Amino acid sequence: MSDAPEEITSSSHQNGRWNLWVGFGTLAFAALCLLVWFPRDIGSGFMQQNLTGRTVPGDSFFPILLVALMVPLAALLILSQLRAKRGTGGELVGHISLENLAFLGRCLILTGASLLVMNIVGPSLIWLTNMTGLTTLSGYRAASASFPFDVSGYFFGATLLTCGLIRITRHRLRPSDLLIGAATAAVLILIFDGLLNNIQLPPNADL
Amino acid sequence: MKSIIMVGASLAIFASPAFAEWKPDGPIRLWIGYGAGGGTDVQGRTLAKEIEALRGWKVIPENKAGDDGTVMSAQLKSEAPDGQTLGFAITTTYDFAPMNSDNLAPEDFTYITTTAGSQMAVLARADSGWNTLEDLQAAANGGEQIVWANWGTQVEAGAELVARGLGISVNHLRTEGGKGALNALVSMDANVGWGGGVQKPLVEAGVLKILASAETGPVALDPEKPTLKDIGVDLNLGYQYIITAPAGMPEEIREEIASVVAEILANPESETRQFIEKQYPPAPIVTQGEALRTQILSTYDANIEMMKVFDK
Amino acid sequence: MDLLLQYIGLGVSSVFYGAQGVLQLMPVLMVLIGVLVGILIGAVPGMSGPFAMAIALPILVSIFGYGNDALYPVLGCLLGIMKGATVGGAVPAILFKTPGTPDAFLTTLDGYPMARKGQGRKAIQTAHFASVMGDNFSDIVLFIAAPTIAVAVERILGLPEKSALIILSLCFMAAVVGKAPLKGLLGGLLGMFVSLIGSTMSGNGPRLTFGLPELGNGLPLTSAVLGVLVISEVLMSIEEMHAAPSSEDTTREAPEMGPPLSWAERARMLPGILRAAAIGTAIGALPGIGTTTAATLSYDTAKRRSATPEAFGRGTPEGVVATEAANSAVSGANLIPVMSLGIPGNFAAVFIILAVETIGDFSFGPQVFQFTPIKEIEGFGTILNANLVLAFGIFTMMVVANFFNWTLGGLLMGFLGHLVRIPKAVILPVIMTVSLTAAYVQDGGYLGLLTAGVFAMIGYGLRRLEISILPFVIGFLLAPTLEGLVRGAFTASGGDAFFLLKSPIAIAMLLMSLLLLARMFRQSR
Repeated sequence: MSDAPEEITSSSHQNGRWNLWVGFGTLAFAALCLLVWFPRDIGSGFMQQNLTGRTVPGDSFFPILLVALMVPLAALLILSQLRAKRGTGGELVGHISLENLAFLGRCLILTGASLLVMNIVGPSLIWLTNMTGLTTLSGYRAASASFPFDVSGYFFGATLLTCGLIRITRHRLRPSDLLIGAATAAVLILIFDGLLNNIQLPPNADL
Repeated sequence: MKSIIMVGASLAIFASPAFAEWKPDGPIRLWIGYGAGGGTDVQGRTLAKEIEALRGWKVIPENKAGDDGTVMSAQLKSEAPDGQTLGFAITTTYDFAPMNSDNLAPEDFTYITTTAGSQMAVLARADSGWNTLEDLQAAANGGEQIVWANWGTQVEAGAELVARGLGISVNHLRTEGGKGALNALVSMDANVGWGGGVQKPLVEAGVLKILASAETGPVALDPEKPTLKDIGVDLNLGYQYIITAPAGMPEEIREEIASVVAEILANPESETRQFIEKQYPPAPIVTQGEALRTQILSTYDANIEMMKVFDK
Repeated sequence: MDLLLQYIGLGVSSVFYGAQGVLQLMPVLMVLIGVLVGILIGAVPGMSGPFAMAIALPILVSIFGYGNDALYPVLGCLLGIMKGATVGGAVPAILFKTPGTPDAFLTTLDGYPMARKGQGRKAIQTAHFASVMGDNFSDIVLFIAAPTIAVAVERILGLPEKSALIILSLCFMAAVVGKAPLKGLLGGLLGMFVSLIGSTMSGNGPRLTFGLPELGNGLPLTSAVLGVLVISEVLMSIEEMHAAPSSEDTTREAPEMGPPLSWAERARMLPGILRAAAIGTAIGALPGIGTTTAATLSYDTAKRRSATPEAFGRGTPEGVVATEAANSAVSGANLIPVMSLGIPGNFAAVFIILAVETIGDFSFGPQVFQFTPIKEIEGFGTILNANLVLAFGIFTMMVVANFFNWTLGGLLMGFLGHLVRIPKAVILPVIMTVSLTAAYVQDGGYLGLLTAGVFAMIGYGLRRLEISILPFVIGFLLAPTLEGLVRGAFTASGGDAFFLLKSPIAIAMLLMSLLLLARMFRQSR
């Protein structure tokens, strides 16, 4: 499940700073945890008194231990990277470029838009059928277990997601891709809503 | 005995059709405070199915596990009290857990009905040779190290109270759920532990033995054994399975839901009832309305009193 | 001995007969479906066995539920996929030099030249034969070794020793994980850390939840693993395709297939298969070392031992045998640490563990192989070690899967060439939609979806920064157990701070952990 072995990077050491980033990032994370996050978000300290008056490890015992162990490792990483700069050796170095981030951002926006569609279509459909006098429903919640309202949002949202991603991989969208997107959504609806009971497709488990 | 009378009483009060006015507007979501696959989950899902069959309401069970129902309850309390979001947990969730929680209070909820009760007991491995708490006491005084398996703060406090009552010292082992306590016993990581009901097959198989009941009366599996009260420890760790809703639910909705559940649990053919008879013997425990609310609030106060012992 | 036979008998029949003694076909049917899906998925470029297992698990759980009866069908299907995919992965590697799985990469070295020489059929059949044989070999080792190890382990291990054992296996894994051990360890620690979100051990309410009550039961496991393993990988592939200038799918023609493999040729392969399978099994039994290592090692050994080393890389069946037998042998042997210690060795094993942990009342670990005397209790039923019956049930299903691989696999592989034409540009987006839906449906709505999303970002970051993912995942899965054990050992010992150092076995294991860390540090300089 990883890249083929031959791909092991060649021009690694001019990007060696990425290992420094990892090291310093870890140190910053450890500091943030120990100074800000843990004190506010963990109910008991490193050690605590239990009911019998004995001292036992508290809820922060293990988190502090883990984060504290990160510190020497990160320091080692930084040191070994500084030393390895001139020659070869040292740890494998990776990097995250701006293009990578732009790509991730694009995927996030696409997913967010699809989720928005999932949430909006159902209520809109009900508004529409109420307007035309086909139904007299009090809202989406009341219809969130009746076909087709319960799966309408998912159908359009999932289709949008699949098609959007195909557009990204291929740089264009063929009419047949729309069919594939819709078919994927339809098959998933058939499995989860048709064949199985008490399974809720998005957004129905969060109303 | 008491429970059976309870069923009858509640039926007489609530099962009359005059109350069958309220109807949910859309599906009811039943939030089960425990993970999928456990005893609570099975009970909740069977009940959901039978409510659906009896009234034609759509009931969707959802698992929201964590920390003995408190994770579910913390989310439940901010839902609308319109009868379409219900919680299924145990009374401990409401009459003990709020003590250690910033975001739970007993007043945050409407208590609809209980369904079944625990069989809380002190357990030991059969090969320990102990038959009663006195044997345990003797072993401890003889220098044997006692490790007590507990799954939560309340039962750990209970274990400590029992130990103090017996005048012995024990080490407490915190386990993951009631099943974890049994595993710790069987794998010899602990030598005493609590069991709330899951111990049944292991006790019947002769692997574990009941030393005492922690209910107000004896436990069904071994009615010969004394209660903790009998031996001078004033402690009741029994709990019931309970259906709740956010606070402020209109009376008619509460009564309608309560009466449906009472009707199901009173029916000997009911799958839920049969499950309860097998798993939480001898019969369903149905407490509803004001009686239930009073029970929760007064137990909460009693529990606060109990825990004060440890403040010193 | 009698008891052992009784348990084996119960285990075997538990696959075919349900709780009431009724004949049930579902587990076998699911194994069959799993093998078919696995072979097909393995042959699709960009897909691999663990991938398919990750997506299948939540869907299977939705179908079969969480009850004890659900476990066999779900596990059967997962095991089938695991085994089928190793067989199927060889086809595109041989015919088109596009390995379906990274494990099949080395198969291209000799398989593809063979196909070019017009021996495509022979190459595929060689791969199939070697693969199935290697698989059977390592399964037999698993059946014998896992109970032996577990029984030995359970005899001597209390709470402190169990804690030390988990620490040792975590260190071990980071030490062998590859070219970036320091970052691997950091990743492992990070994985352990995030697994603590939402958990509590001392009744003070859930920790590290940012005040969100929804996180009170911890992060949903399946979604987290799905995100970090599958979705991040899909993201990487989608990005790769997006960046590639011509993303038009090229249609490839299958080359001339040539004559089939004769039985005499098969017989001549056996020594090579045995050697490769032994290497694969040995490597697979160690936690954390991938199939790629096994295949590489086996290929090099075969080349060195060969009378004609110059033929390697130009299309010799020996090369295909060496890689395929070793690849497949890893999958069975990997279950040795899984079943006896509860420690996953590779991604496929992670999903087997997830299935066993989430469904029914079973769990892996030394207690699985306790030979509890079987007793009949009036009015109650039989008391026995259900975990042990399950273990033999799993073994039975693996044998069934091997049988299907052996028979159907051979038939199917001839047709798989066509599958390679399924465009990756379509399959990846579909996988993404299915994964996200599965996360939502299975794991508590948006909580599951968000977890999958956040873990996908983590996985993406780890991959881009060349940090091995396996320590992260394994740390994530093992940390809660480790914390419980450490705290339990501490309190049960009455608050002895040095409980870990009171047992010679625990000390030995901790020393070994230190040794591994020291060695790793030396290498990284």
